[in-house]
Amino acid sequence: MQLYETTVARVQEIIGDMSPAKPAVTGPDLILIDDLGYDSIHFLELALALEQEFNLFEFDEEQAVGMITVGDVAHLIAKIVVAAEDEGGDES
Amino acid sequence: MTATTTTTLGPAEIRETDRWLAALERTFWVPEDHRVGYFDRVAALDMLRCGEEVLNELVKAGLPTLGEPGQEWFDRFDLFNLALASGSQKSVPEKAIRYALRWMHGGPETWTARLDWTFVVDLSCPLPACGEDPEWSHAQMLPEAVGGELHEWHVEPEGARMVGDQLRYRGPGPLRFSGHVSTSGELMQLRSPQLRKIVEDFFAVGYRWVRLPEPLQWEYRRLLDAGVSPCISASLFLAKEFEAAGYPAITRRGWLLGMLDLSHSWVEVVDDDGVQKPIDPIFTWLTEYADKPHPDLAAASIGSRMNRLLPASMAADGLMATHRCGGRDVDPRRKTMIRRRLATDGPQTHHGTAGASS
Repeated sequence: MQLYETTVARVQEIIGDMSPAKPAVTGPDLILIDDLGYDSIHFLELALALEQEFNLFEFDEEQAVGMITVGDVAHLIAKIVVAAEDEGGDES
Repeated sequence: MTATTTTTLGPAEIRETDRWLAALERTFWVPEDHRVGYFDRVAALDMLRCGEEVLNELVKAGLPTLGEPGQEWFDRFDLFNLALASGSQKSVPEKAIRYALRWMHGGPETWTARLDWTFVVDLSCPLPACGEDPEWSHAQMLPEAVGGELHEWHVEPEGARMVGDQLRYRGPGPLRFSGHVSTSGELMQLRSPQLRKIVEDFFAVGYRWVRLPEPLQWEYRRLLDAGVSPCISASLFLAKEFEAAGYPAITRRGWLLGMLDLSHSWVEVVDDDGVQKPIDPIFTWLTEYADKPHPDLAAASIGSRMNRLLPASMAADGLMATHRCGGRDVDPRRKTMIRRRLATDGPQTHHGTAGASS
């Protein structure tokens, strides 16, 4: 559970840092496009940064559908990270 | 860059430099009459991700520049095409194209299913201060032309409205329209032997896909003679060929949708069965840049209506958006974002049973 929460927090931090709008505060309910100024290229940069940060395989489009808010992205990444950790644990 | 500096490079860096220099030889440069020095060295390095030493070597070896040595400016299309030819896997254009085309590994059922998209298009004036009596226009999105639908539509300011197939507004910007569209597709093949021959002959020439400024792409003979064929040029040429063979054809502007929305153009021709079918050679070529594309995808883009194409009410040689202020035409700054979304309303005749239409 701790991994899930720390991942959510780190993703929110990255999204805030990379936001074109540079808001004073970020939160899970902020909308990536309207509130944080993300456009297509910034989404690309964010996706590549998250893949690198969490050593993820490339997201496919189905996973990215419906990512509206900071929280949507943070929880998606946290689920993937925790699932990868669980799979690793099963194998060892 | 001096010879001394070069000797400090390790074998890996030298191989990397050679790779970029080889790409330099293959790249088609924007002709001087269309070249714009929009990117400085910092921006160029951010795009190419090749390192300063390599950039110095590229400039020395002939990468076109404007401005003084050491303070060069670069054309963004030159940098894009060079990066794509490099095979470095690190440059932003390579990453962006691969990212945009991630959906290409999917099978035929995914090419025709209903897909839903949110869109936001912003038009603003690029001048420090927008001039008097500003006017704006943007071509209409036409999802219904590919079996889709417009589900939601918002426009700001309120005075903007559709006039024919153009969104028009008189007043201070920016102009924004947004909403929700769906697209769908249908797998089809060209029946006419004549049309098939024209397309085969086009591919047989071995043109290379490049990105170039729109006004240059309209000079399609000039580009084809140089061995390159961006989407607008290919569309204009093929439309003429189809018409010359007696087949009605139109060119379209629009978007190729995926993880990123790419501004795009293609041609549609009325086949022997009376059906108007898209022909999109660039779509075929783009599969070469995708990671593990489905083996049937390239061929399907000739004649099939793909759910990845969102047409606009504009021909390939027309302007998608216009702006006029202070008594003169100004190319508006355009920011478009079209992203997949969950389908939440409207009929979903294909969703989840996508293979049915094929």
